[in-house]
Amino acid sequence: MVKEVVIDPITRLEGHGKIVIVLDDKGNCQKAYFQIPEFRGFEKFAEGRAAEDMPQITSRICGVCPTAHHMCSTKTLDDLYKVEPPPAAKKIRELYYNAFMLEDHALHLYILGGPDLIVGPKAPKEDRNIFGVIKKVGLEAGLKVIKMRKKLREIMQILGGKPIHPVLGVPGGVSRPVKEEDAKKIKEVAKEAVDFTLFTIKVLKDLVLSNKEVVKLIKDEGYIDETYYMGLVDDKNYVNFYDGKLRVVSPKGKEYAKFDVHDYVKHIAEHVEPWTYVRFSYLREIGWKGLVGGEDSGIFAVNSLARLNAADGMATPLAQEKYEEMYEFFGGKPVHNTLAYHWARAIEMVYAAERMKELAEDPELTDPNVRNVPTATPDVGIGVIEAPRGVLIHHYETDERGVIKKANLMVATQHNAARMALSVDRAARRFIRRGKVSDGLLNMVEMAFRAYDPCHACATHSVPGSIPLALYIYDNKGNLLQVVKNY
Amino acid sequence: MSDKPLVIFLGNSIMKDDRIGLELGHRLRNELIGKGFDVEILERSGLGLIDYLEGRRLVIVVDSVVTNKYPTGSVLKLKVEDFKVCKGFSPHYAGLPEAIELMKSLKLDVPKVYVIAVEVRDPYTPSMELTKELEDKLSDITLEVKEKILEISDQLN
Repeated sequence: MVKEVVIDPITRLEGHGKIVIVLDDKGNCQKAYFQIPEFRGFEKFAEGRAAEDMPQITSRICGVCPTAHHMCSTKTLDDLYKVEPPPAAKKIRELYYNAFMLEDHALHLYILGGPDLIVGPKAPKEDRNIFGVIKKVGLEAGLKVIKMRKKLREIMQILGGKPIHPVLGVPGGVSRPVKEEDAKKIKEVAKEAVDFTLFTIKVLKDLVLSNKEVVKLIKDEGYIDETYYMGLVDDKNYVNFYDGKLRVVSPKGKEYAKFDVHDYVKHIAEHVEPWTYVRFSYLREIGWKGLVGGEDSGIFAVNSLARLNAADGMATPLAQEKYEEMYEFFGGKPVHNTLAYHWARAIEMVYAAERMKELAEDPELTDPNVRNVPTATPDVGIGVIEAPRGVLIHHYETDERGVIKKANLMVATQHNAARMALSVDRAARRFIRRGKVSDGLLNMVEMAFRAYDPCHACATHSVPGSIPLALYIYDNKGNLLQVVKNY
Repeated sequence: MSDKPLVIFLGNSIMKDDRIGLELGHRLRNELIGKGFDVEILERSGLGLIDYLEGRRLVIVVDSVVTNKYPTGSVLKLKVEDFKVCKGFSPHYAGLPEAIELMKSLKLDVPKVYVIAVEVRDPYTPSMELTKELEDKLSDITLEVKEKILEISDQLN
């Protein structure tokens, strides 16, 4: 006879997480199911609207990654109207995008997920958040995080008008060029950003990697899943957030596929399970073999660690140095340790800052030619970008006036859903034993999915660092014995 | 430090009733500016609000709320502290107490913050239209929100 432990639903409406944990007779976790909401309805909402409105519409899908949707949609419009933006426009977009990635990663690392490692999982509940991080890193450092974030937003405002819902991207380019005086300011902030990201790496080294207990946890079998990894790479197979080809490596680190986003349907398929609303992405040729890892299973991961695993390196020197340090620490590639997502995020922050600096120093950035006006008749457009949470694909089909007939948005959390389910299952089986379910253990299970920075609506409820979860413990007759809530 | 009170209208323009804050902002903006307020109409939440709270003495936030305790269109005047016990609040609100707590932790000057919340029915469906019940009450809601803003401001002057 099995018992059921239910962690209340993550619904987009209530923003709660749901994890169903099935216990065996001894009270050990037999199987755990992680359910996340899929943001539905936008594809239908898009139908009948002008494709040119999509960068604005999709950027309002949620408050977590508006810039990713805006940029992906803009690139999809380039493809739809068969227009190539001028070099300056591409650089402005990429600069803007790297500022966003850095700001978003900093938010996650310091505020949402990072406290798990910086403060430590066994710290009192009231300290496992940004306030606990401030206690650890100091007031001055806390102010540094807030100030850096603000400066990055100012850059985004200079380039894109609005820091949250940008008006930067238009098909064939950007809405305005960069002035010389603005470029000067951006250069200064970019330089400061590099220092800030190196400070972040130092925080990780000093407070996480020097803590034997946390390191033990990072390497714990409860947080290891072997899957395929997917990420955008440039022509040298280095990580690129803005453009490139999608590369997939196997659990053993060998290149499995490398393809243009136009071929995404050949490579990525979706699987539906009756117990969740989310569609699980998997590698089509390998197939869906259930929620299992390994080379024979088509499950793949995206997001920071997956990007680093899928690439051969970083395109900037300091990020490359930090990249090598991480793989040396784990003894080679790929790294399957879920909690290493946080470390990979910090390395990507270094890359984003260095890339910002490179672009800010590029004289072409201020070229006034920032748009090629599209003239082609639209039909189909497909675009891709690396959202902070992983590969994001937009696909629009329109009539000859550019009115959307069909839209498909494949979001990162969907690609990561199967891997997240694996991770939650593994962590629950590892840490929930003999029927003991405490706040601390619930947090250990939460850590397994928080590392992925999942982009569901409840993430916007979680500024203090915890996604609302409730745990219901039933006996084997279905009687409710205990409720544990973290909100 | 600005002595001018700031009114922030929050919402999401493509999420049905969640757009009410934006609608109210567009209706009241000019009048409030004429009465000496600064006005921001925003589609943002969480820590991003710190950028607007910093350097202010008084901030009034107008947004939607789902408590399921009041009739649709009810206008509630709340303090930030109320949200810690207010279940089912909107994502915009969720960030506000934490943003303020963070400012306190960082020893930043925290303004007096009030929230004027409009009870809505459906802030979750993608749509550019309010539910009919809310749409029908929009003029009355606008008036009530304006009165509450002026009331708060008068009390503190």
